[in-house]
Amino acid sequence: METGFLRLIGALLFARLDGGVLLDVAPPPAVLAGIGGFLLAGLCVLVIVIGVVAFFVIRAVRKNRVAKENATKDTAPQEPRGNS
Amino acid sequence: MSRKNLLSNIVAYSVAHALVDGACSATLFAIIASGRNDLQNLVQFVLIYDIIAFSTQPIFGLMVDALKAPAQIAAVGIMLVVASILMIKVPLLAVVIAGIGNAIFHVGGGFVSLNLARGKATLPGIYVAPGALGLTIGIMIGKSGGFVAWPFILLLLVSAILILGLPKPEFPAQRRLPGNLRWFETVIMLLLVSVVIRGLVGQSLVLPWKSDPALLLALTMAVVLGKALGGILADRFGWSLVALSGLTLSAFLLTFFAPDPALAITGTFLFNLSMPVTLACLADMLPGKSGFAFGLTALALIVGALPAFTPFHTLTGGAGFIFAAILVSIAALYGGLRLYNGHFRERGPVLRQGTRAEKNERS
Repeated sequence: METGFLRLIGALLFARLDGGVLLDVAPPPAVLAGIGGFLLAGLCVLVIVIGVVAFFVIRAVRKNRVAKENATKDTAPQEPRGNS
Repeated sequence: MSRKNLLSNIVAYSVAHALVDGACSATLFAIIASGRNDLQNLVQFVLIYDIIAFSTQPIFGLMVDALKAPAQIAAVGIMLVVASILMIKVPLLAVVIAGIGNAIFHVGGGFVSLNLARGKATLPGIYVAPGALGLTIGIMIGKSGGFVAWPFILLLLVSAILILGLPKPEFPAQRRLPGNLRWFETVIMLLLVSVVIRGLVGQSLVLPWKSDPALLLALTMAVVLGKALGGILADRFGWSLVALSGLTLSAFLLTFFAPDPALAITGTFLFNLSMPVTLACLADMLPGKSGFAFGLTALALIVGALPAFTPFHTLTGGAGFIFAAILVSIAALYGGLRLYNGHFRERGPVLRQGTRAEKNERS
């Protein structure tokens, strides 16, 4: 059996011991396609998760800036107010 | 920072960039050329590598921003690439480690290039440019079946030692982001849309003459020169002028003249002029987060490139689609740069050193 990546995973899932001997069972093509699809979906989920993390980091950068600005306003010397 | 130190840093990181990309692609294609993996696995490996190498960069970028030790982090990335070459007999592991190593190196070098001269597009452009050359040469070596590990390992180790021995760059103090934060996310989003489309067009463009090695090399040099000169020209003549005029001309050349190598290569050169501008502008929008900003552009590139790996590639490869996509990219970049110039660009002494850039941006 070829040691291709999908086939390897398929074999790991489908191989079984028969009287102590590991049988080399080729997984059905549908299973290979399923594993491939699952892998692709997993990679896409990774991209989405990192995208969401990036979004929150950008929000945090903005909030941090607003907080700093407010702190600067609070500590800035106030102009003397006249009576007018 | 002295000019000599600046030059030694940018040259070392740029050469290492070409080596890292070359080693990763040579390893990947050597695995495929070994014949142990069928076509379906080939696509899987390329996808796994690309997604890991590109999409994880924002996370590693945050790490670089926090640790502020880009040289050490870049060296770790190089060592992981060396490890991946040594693990070539275990293809999946080699591909995953190459992807992680590549991502870590990129953000380390990206952090340095963006901070050596803050608010400038020249150095990020020069740093990113050689990657395309390394990639093409690596693919050629890997595909030829003549991949030999030790020269790559030796060169990578030397580059890691050189980077660790470089004079430590003095990074400028973190700037305060001026302007109205109302447009903060809008600017970032528009810049990223422009990068997504660059990834999409770059991956979808069908150039039938690319199989000729000489023309492929010429195309690669157009990418390299476009990115390297893009930053230099943009800092001299204005970011908007160079990036937008380059994209506009490339829209016509890449859409209507793709079968003509000379015109398509010119179009590719012009198309890549905007890359350093989007990168430098994004980094300027996120002060103190240069590594993260660099990673964001990589994430945007892979988001754009993903449709080319799906059945949608028949749609995205069409001339009409390419033309419309570049037009959207122009509109996004125009909007992003206009808002950036109006609300966020620093008007301090850093940018008032007699360059024409600011005058052009203001006019």
